[in-house]
Amino acid sequence: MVELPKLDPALHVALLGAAEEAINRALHYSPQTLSSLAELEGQSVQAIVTEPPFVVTIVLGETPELRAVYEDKPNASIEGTLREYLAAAAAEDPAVALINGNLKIRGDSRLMQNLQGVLSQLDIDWEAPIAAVVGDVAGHQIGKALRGLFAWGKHSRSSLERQLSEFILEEARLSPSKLELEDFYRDIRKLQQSIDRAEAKAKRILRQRAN
Amino acid sequence: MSEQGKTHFGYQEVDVDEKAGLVAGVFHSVASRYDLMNDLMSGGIHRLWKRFTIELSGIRKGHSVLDIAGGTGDLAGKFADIVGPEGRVVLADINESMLNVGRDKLLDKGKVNPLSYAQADAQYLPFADNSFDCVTIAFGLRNVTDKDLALRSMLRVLKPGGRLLVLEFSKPTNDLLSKAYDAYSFNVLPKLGQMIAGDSNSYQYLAESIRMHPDQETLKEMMLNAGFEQCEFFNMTGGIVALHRGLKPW
Repeated sequence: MVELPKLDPALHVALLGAAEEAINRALHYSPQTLSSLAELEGQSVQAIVTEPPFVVTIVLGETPELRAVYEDKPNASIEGTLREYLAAAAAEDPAVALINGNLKIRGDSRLMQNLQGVLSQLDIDWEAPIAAVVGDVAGHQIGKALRGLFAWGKHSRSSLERQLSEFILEEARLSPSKLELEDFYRDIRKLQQSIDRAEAKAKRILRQRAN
Repeated sequence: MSEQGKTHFGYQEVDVDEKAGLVAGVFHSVASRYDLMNDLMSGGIHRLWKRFTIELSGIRKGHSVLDIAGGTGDLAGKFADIVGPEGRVVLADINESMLNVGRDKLLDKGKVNPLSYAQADAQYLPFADNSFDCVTIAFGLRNVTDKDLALRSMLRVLKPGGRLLVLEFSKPTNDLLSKAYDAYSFNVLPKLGQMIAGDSNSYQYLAESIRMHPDQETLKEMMLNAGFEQCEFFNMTGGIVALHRGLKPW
């Protein structure tokens, strides 16, 4: 079944086209991320925003595509309101935020974990695009300054977030820790494997009975 | 067709045999500036309409696609990238000038495989039955003399389960938009045509032919009558353009 765009299709594809262009330009300057994304070629993640209604499917690969219409079943999907997406995106560890938040995730959780890993390595080489415009010498200096600025921003943000998350995790115990979550994931995987084995066994017994 | 032996050429009523020649004249005249004019006339939005068409085509690697009235090759070029060398994309146009411009443009972009070209009439497509996974016609159907005949011909060359996509100007869904659009089409458009392509009459025809084209529901009905199923349409930019889609039954 086609997931119909809720906006005027022309506006919908305009937004996605612009975002796709911006993403691919940025990725062009992060070769490590590009090669990691290439390994996920053809897999898809659908983001369903319920309020305001908006659907986008990201088809992964070296050049990710953003689609308004995607007729196959996506490998994974995320569903929630725009506010819930923004809350997850602003979190220090989006993976933890996804579990604790109200976003609903369906499908292949391993793909989501892989994707999260790829995006956390995103490291844009600012020097290359700037040098293309102003030349190598100035490009190197400006690139260096930008790298420093971003690193400082990242550091000060992460330091503040670390203190806040320590309070949430250790003092207030409002949210499970990473280790607890990993244990939880492991238990789920074990349970999934046991269910698969039991299902296979049950099918075998039923087949034997039928014969 | 309005009455036996007669059809529309814009607002004029002409003999059926005459229409193809008159339309050919229009497109011979505008072929070299066609892309520029499309960008100017639509403010570049025609690219978005086409992008949505490609998304809705459901085309994948290895598929075969026929792009009728493919003109300057916008859709065919994109389809070629998607289907890859193991697929097949035929760019067809009844008009030699448009086909030449399209072929040159695609060759200049280095696109060779899997493209091929055919000067063909949409009413009598020179392809075997059940040949294509997808047939598209973008801004072409309104120029065809006998649209029902053309739709049946498209159905014939599609594989069972294959889809037809018709992208065409249609009827705006909002009265205010409709009035603004009329004013633009009949006052601005021919002047733009005169300035850019040196031909106001062709663009006057363009505006008129859009008004004479069947509206969304009528075209959907025509597709159903031709034998397509699961027909639906998507209004874009307030209904100025509509994308119709229908499937060939299994």
